[in-house]
Amino acid sequence: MSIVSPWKQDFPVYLSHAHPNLCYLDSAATCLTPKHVADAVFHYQCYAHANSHKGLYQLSANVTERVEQARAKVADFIGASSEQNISFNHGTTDAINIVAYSFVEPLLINASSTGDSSNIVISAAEHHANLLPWQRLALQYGAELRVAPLNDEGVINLAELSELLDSNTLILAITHTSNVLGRQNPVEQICRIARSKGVPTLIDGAQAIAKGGINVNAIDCDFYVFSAHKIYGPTGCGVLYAKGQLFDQMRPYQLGGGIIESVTYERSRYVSGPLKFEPGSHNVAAIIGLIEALDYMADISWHDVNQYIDNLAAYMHSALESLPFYQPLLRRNDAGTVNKSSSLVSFQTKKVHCHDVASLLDNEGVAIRAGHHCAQPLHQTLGVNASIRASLGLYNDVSDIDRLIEGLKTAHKMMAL
Amino acid sequence: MNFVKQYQPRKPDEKNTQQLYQEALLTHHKNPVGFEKTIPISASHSGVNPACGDEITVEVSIDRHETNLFIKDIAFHGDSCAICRASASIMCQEVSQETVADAKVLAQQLTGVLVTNIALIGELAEQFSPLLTVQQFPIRKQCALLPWNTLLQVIAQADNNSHTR
Repeated sequence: MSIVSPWKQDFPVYLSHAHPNLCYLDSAATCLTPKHVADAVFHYQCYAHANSHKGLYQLSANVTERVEQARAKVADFIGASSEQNISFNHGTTDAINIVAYSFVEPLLINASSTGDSSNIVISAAEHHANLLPWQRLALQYGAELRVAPLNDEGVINLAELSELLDSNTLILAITHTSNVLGRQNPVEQICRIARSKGVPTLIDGAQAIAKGGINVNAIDCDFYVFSAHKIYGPTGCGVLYAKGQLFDQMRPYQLGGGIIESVTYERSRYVSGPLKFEPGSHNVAAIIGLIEALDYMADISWHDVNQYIDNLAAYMHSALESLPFYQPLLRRNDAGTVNKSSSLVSFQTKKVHCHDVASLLDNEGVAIRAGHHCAQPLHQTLGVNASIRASLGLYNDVSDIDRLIEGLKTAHKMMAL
Repeated sequence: MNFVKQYQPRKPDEKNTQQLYQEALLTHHKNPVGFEKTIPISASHSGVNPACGDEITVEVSIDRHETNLFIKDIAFHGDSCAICRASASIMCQEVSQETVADAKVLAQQLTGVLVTNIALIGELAEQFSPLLTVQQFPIRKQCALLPWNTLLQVIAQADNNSHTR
């Protein structure tokens, strides 16, 4: 394996006047930004900025065209049938809230008015973004929030999930890949089970999107959501995919300019399609940044990047397992294969609290995540209140893993009780 | 014209973290005063840091002498980092045998000092010297503050109990 990532030089944060010694192992939280993306955003802000979809002048028309080209590109990237299935928003959290309040809440209102019981199904692996909106709706309308358990390998237990789904289930909202365990759920199979019971599905792709290769038609989900910054794009931009004509069935979530056909003081009529969920001004800079990120990844080859990160992940898992004080959140299965391929790993170190580990690693320039990673209930389920998480991006290399291991050894030597 | 202002990153300073985890603090971390001690409980409260999930329960045993309430004994339990644990240990050391009123003032003083980065002088500076380095680590202040904020809740409860008695 290459000692130095062939793509590291594309990331200005590592330049000599910035953070040449940074060891960034928190890509599951947010990816660093390649120069190509920063340049595209900078160029747009300086030389091409205007409001999209509203101005009757050339500069605005150019921006509108770029946003609509971006919609088509994102549709192509995730295998959607049409750009009309793609809506831009602020990120994964925003997209989940849109589905909660535009699609599920009207169903709950309808059910509670007729006295029908309802339920919403999630899994034990959800981060707070895919838990709190559902929890609030369930509490507000007296619906049941059902939590599908995980098996020993950290994947949703399909048999138990199947039993939780019934004709009163308004949505099944689950993560594609856990941001704590790094395990990927068999979403095609899960959506097939849900469809057989007439249950709509939302797949939270926040972590899975980083590997590319998503095909929403193959998954056959109703909704798929992800954020641009998990794929080397800017923050403040996310994507909501909705299948078929679902956007037309949904009511707008936030109201304002740009989503109407006509407005009088008495009533308003909204546009159809994805624009209905994009009130106000688009975050055009971030949308352009997302498209540049997709182009960048396509240019350097998804295949090469994934192969590189897979190899690096295997090195990371082996190096961590060689530490006598290493305690992964997920135990090995009989085949000893748990987590081996995941580009993120969450663990504890015996007798040193993870916040102390994080502080000591930070002093060595090693950036990792420590805490509950916005997945507190999952940590409770696993019987811990916090963990350390190391996650890889295409700029990482073997030396980053070696520095992590050295830092962990130092922390253990200094702090262990 | 230069569009981009030169960014000046903080230079990593090896002394920093060693300062945070200085010997005095590590001593409290490794041999904490009042940790998992069993005492008769007059009032207790559980505090959490929502950002990280750390939790600590502070228990006090209160005695009354004439009109004064005294902290006869104090203990803490819970799963927390070294900074939080050492801070709780220092707290147990410093407020045991104090009047509830004095403990409250001490807790308010220390939380104020940590939050606003005010320098301490004299006896107080000496008492709390292992904790004061946390002022340079804004991310870790919440860890040091948790036991003291929890103590203030316990004191409010003890005050409340004494008024309703």
